[in-house]
Amino acid sequence: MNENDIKRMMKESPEEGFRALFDEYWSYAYTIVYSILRGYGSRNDVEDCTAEVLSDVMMKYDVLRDTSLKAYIGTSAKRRAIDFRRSMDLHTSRNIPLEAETEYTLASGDDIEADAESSDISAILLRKIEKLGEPDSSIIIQKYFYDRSSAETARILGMNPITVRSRLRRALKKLKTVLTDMDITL
Amino acid sequence: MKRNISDILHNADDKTVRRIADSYTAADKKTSQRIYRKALSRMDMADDEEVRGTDVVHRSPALHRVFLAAACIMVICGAVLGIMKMKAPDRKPVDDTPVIMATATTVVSDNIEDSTADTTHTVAVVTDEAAVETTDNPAHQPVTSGKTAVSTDNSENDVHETTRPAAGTTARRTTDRAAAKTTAKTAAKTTDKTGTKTTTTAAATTTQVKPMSKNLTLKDVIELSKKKDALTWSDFTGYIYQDIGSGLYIWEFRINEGSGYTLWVGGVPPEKPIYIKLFLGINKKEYPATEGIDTKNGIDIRYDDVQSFINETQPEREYEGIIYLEDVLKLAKKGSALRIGDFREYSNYYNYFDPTLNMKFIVIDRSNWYLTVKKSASSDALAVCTLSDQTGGHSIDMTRNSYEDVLEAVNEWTFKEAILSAPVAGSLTMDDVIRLHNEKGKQLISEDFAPYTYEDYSFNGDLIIKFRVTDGENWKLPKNEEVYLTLRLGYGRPLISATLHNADLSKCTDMVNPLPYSGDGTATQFDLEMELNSKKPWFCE
Repeated sequence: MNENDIKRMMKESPEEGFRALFDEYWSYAYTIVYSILRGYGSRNDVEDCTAEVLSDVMMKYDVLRDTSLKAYIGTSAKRRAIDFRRSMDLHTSRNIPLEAETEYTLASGDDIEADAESSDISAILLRKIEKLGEPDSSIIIQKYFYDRSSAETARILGMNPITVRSRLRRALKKLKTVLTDMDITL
Repeated sequence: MKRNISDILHNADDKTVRRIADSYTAADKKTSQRIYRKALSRMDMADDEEVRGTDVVHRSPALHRVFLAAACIMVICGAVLGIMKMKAPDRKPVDDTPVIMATATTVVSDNIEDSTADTTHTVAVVTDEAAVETTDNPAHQPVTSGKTAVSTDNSENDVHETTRPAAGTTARRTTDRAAAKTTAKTAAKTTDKTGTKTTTTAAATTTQVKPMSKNLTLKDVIELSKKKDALTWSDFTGYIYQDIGSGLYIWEFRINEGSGYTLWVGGVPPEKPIYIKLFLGINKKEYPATEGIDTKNGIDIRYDDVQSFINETQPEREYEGIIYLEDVLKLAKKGSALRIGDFREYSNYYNYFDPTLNMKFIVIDRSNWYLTVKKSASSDALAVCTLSDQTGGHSIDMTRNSYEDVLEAVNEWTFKEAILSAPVAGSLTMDDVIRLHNEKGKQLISEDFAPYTYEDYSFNGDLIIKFRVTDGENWKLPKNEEVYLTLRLGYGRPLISATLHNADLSKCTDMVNPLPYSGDGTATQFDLEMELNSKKPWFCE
């Protein structure tokens, strides 16, 4: 199902349209929200925020406009997550340094070179992980990006936790040799 | 500067995050369903599958009458039962002591019309301390129902007699009671031609009921030997024996308690036994072969001193008995109130328990653990009561230490045994250990050690995993010291502990569990070691 089909369904039958929208993009929105709320909110907060993003998209997105639905969801997710994080900070009376608050809205002007290097490293690392192939790359991402245990990863990937552990061990060994050259440790 | 995968991915740029979002599943189906429901409820489009409200159940009006009638019947029945209960005569007090009641009937009557008119009814009943119900029966003698009931109807005019020899302590006890409580009544109702009723009471015959057989013990043998020449076959019928004779009757009793003695009673019943011999040893072969029994050196218990024979021949007791750790801990709760008699139930020589001996019990559910007990010569208190772990070389006195101390020692020894016997699952350098601790702190989990586990290591649900720690580039191990890192896993929980220790566990440092720290809040033992001995903790050169 492509974007146009989903838009058409959203126009014709809101319920079916939302189901299609959700099935296609919930994981995408969740990941973006998670990357921003990690360390701030619980998994429940991430779920709440993702639900808000998707319901907002459903209610506010103009299906007649010729804009990318996926890009719209990505941007909505990011903004909503930043708002969510800010409101949580307010509730918990946490002092937010100005840099942290603007972290997701403004690029650092002082250290563009460092940011670019960091982007490069993360992109290269992701490519190296992807090269491991499935399900090893998924296992590594679940562990190091989503901070999931073997049991949780096993549930998501439909595997045995012991298999997940052993595959993780082997995948990390493979990755270790590659990453040593990049000065990255496990 | 070195960075690790988590840092890089957690701080990944937008583009990378979107690539991850595009390519990988973010959560499981349950999570997605939860999000879906939350989103629907935000839009007031609640999922139809969700159950809301309550259903009103309507019953058929026809059933109302049925229920009403049933209720009325129940009320009436209740009222009737209540009235009957109130009018019923008071129950006779229940005698709950064991009773042997023997009833026999002898008919003495000249005026018997026919054979069916005479009914001899013999009932032998044993009651024990279990539930006893007595029912009044106006037509017959009171009948006591119990576990065993032997009833014989004899419609001929014979006088029925049942004789069952009783032996053993149980038998003696019940027979004594029976002497006091035996009721012998005979009721024979006959009707003569004139229609008059005659009731005759006759003397009762003896009825003894055989108790459950049991193993003969040395104590029983000593008791029986006191009867000397008066001993008969019936004295032995309450014990488990095997008839091994071919011409003569030879009853072989394997004396219980693992004492290693055998008793032979030989002769031709009911004549007086020809011999009643006690031998050392137990037959290891089928009769007539008698390997294992010292038949040349036996004594006849009627004429020789059994106690002296036992004292002379009894093999030395290597162990008094076996005991489970659970029972050891139960005993440890008594502390200084422990007495030698408390150990009797764990002794193999229960009936021949000698409190003056040194006793050694094997703690059966631990490897090479023992409980040593000795009574004080001057008083009833214990001079020695030591639980020892001969593998680890530990011991603790149970009477001089609190239960908590004993429990702690038991746990520690058990844990040490488990660690010492655990296989090595992998290896990592001291640099890795320190880096993992600095990065993860108290959040360390078993998965963090996945890269350091040997490929051929089979997890098998082990709860203790031991890693060998080797020299790192920056941190070297002390010379002549083997260092290990042992993880204790919990079921579905994070690590219970991650302990750095040397080979014999004389030096241990916990990396996970926080300790109260006099400075500010809590710190792990690892932190404290590093801080207090910043130049040289025990695990670093």
